[in-house]
Amino acid sequence: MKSKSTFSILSLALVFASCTTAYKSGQTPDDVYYSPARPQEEYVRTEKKDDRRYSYSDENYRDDRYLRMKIRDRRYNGLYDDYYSYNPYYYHYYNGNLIYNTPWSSYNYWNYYYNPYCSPVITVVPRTPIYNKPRTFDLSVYEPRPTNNNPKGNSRNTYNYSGSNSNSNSNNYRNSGTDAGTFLRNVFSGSSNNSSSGSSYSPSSNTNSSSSSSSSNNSSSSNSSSNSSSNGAGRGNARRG
Amino acid sequence: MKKALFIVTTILIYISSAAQEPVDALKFSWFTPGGTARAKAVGGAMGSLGGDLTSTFVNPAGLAFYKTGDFVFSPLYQFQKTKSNYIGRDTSDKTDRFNWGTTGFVIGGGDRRKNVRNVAFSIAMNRTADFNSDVLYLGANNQSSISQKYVDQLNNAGIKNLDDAVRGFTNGASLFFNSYWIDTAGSIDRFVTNAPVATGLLQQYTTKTRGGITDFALGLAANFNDKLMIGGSIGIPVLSYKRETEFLEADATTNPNNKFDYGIFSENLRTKGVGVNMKLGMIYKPAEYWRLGLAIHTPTFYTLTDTYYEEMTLNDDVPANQTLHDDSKSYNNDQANQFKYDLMTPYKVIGSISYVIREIEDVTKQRGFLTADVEYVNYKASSFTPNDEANTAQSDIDYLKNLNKAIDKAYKGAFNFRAGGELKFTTVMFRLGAAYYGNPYKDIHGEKGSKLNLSGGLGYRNKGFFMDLTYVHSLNKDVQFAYRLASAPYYGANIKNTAGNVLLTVGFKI
Repeated sequence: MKSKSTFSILSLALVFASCTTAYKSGQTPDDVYYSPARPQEEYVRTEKKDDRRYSYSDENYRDDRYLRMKIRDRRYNGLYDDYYSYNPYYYHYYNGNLIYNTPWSSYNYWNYYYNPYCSPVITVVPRTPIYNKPRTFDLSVYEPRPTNNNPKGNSRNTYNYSGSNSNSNSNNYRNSGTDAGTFLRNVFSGSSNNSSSGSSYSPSSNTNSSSSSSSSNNSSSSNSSSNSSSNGAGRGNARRG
Repeated sequence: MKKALFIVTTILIYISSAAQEPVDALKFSWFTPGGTARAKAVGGAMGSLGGDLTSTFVNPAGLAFYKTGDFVFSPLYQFQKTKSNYIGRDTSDKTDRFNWGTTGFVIGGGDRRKNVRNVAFSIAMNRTADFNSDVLYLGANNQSSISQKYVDQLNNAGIKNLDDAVRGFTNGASLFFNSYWIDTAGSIDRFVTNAPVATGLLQQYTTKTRGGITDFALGLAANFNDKLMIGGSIGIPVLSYKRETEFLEADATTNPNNKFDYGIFSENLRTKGVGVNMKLGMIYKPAEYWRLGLAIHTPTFYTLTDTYYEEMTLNDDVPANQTLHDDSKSYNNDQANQFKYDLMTPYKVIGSISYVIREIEDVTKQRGFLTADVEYVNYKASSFTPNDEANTAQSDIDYLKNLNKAIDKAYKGAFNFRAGGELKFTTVMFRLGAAYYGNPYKDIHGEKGSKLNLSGGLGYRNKGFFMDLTYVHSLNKDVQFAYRLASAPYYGANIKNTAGNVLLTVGFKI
């Protein structure tokens, strides 16, 4: 997609570059400061040069077009090395009927897909309707509350990761040869290759920082009161593997 | 029966009473717009200067300075580094991209003897916003777990039935519940996290965003007696936004008996759509050399479609090394969810002044200019509305109204400043500029952000051809929240993004 737009823009640039002949000599106006009237005479002259018109009935035009198509379409050189194969208005017989070789003829196989009177096979892939619903968030969290933003803890080291355009930066643990949990523990203990400097994680390292924050709800603080467990299988569509 | 009906109603209201976040509105309105290399070199201050294709997107009245025509194209290469600080730990990530800046043409012409001295029109495209960014941050947290966001969701919904927890929130809480990241606490009506918050959690958040807003615009402007320029443009912004986020949370200890080793929750969101906007402006020349500009940008009215799905992986140590997987598609006929809606972005007002030495035809006597813009953007004016064709449920419509109120609480109006200048030596030009985009956040939880661009460039103009080369150094500060909680402490990550932009504009006089 990007290469297509690049090609289109560069093509346009070439076209417009050819229009700059009016300013090849003399000063080039800078419209930020002052924009002079357009040098009309140059344009009139350019238009006069372009007085040649082609006609479909013109034999020279057909010959010229045939040669250009042949050069462009080298694949067909061996198969259709004659003028009439390239002539869009050339006619031929098929099953005793006179068929014009025009793009509007339904007998041309390539036209089959575009002709509404042909009977193409339409494959409809049945799709179940997509459930139309928004993403879910709890808006009450946007009420103002005491700030506990980013305490400056004592485990201040830098973890560097250089992502490329094609790879997700979340691939770091996937390439580590360990599972995600072990990878993260290694990063914090300083034994990961990606970690530039090491320091051991202490669970209490940011305890002090929470003094200004709201209190934690008992219902969501730990697993101590859980009365059910996975027993090896997940709920719903969750599966192991 | 009545009780059961009440529970079902409560769940449905809760599901629908939560949709897009306020941050979704900000990401499509707080950005540094692109421009030609010349415009970017002077900080993007094009509110009163004119004579550049970028005027189409800032103050279309500036097009009226054209009595000739330009075709320009602007390839752009961007390389950026993002540093994050989350709970006292620094992390950095890099990315680089190729893009297109302002590209298009403008043609002007007229009769100097008439009151309307000349008229100009332009057709142009501009990279209005660029979403390409990779952010990675990690920290050790013994105050909260991401799973508590979904614990709150279940507890607030008043669930009394196990199946409602299993299938009622398949884009979030149900995935956490089904994989035992969260669980019931004694009875079915209370939920808790299985993540061992008290002994410490190691958290890593990664987000990869791609896409941008490309604005296709048609501009028209008229010059009245070389004193007053009036112009307008109609823009069709095409928006494409893709975000992949992943939150990894691991037990800081290696305790095999606490039912939690690590969990990974990933979200995939794609937003696509088209909008329409108008820009109206005028430039007045009170005296020789001076130009005063005023421009108003209407809100952009987008129709957007979100396509999204979530995935979950959890290692609960039962049995060891056999992770649990769940995903939202498996509850939705293996398809991603969709939501179609309308978004109105904030309006903008721009005031500008320029001093140009000298406004005469002989380029050897043109010496340079100074220009400055001040822009006001009311970020809290963003609003979501239901799309007429989407058959949105009443509960979703009500939610969108609440969301707009949350936007009012989260954001505020802000001033942006742009200034720059050029020195001209006949065919060669030197430029410097700066732009500062102010803080759009209200301080709810330590939110603060700004964008600063410092720029410099060179230009060459001769024989019907011109070329401008600009470097823009961007210093962006922002705060990102992986999750927000109503019932427990949570932390934002301070994001410092440093980007280098090399922009080349090649143009031809037509």
